[in-house]
Amino acid sequence: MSSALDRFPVEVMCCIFDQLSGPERRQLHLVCHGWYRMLTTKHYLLGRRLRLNPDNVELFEMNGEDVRKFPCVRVRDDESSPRSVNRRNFLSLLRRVVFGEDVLENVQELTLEGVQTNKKKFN
Amino acid sequence: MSTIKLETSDGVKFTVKTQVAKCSGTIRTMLEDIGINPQDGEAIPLSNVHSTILQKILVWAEHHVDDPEPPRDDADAAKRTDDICSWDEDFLKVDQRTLFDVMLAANYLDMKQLIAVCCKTVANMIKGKTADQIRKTFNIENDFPPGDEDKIRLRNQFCEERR
Repeated sequence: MSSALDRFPVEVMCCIFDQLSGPERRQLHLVCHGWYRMLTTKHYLLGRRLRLNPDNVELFEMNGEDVRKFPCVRVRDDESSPRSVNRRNFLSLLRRVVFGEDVLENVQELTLEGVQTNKKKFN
Repeated sequence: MSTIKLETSDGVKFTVKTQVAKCSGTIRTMLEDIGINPQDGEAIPLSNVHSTILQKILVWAEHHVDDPEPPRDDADAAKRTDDICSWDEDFLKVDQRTLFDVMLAANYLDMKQLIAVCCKTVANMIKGKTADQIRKTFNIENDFPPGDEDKIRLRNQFCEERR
């Protein structure tokens, strides 16, 4: 079984995907491997934001890791701080659990919200 | 009025107004940059386009020949799929195979406006459907290894799109 869409070059497929909104595109990740690959290139990932909150952080445990042992709210975008070890640990865990490494590099903004204090952001 | 000849993959020759043929960026480049001289009476070969599809594309080009140049890089324009003019809508009421053949030919011929309106049409076929319905619509095989779909769902739970 092959789809007539298989004949389309990537630029035409992207032209189609570009007509859709972000949430509409997200649905397309599950269509097939080829679409997933096209929709997770830099072109689309630069518009994505990663969002963590107490509701979905719980999901980390499904992968056998407990992210809550890392002090998420103290994560700072400061390499010289002693806490940067926590940041690195936290990010490396995120890499393994949420994204492949190539993908995380392309996420522009990470929001940590509602764990203990107000929103903190770092890039 | 000046005309040129085009020859399709199945050997059919078309005589076309030069102005209409120039809706195609590919033909425009051949005429202007490479300096193919159609006055010689020689047909420009379009080896990737079948005559049935070229015929259809020429109807479109004839209708849109006087359209103004579209604005470039209009970010908002890309988001709307409900602005297909009714003439184009009727024009693209064809079976999926023909629509896709027109798109491939329009891509080869570098006809940006025609590609855009075709892409909007396909986007409208995608909108509001589940992944499974989309696979059925376009006869796409679900080739994810077992478990991969759950991983993607999990990842997407953490993400939202900015655009």
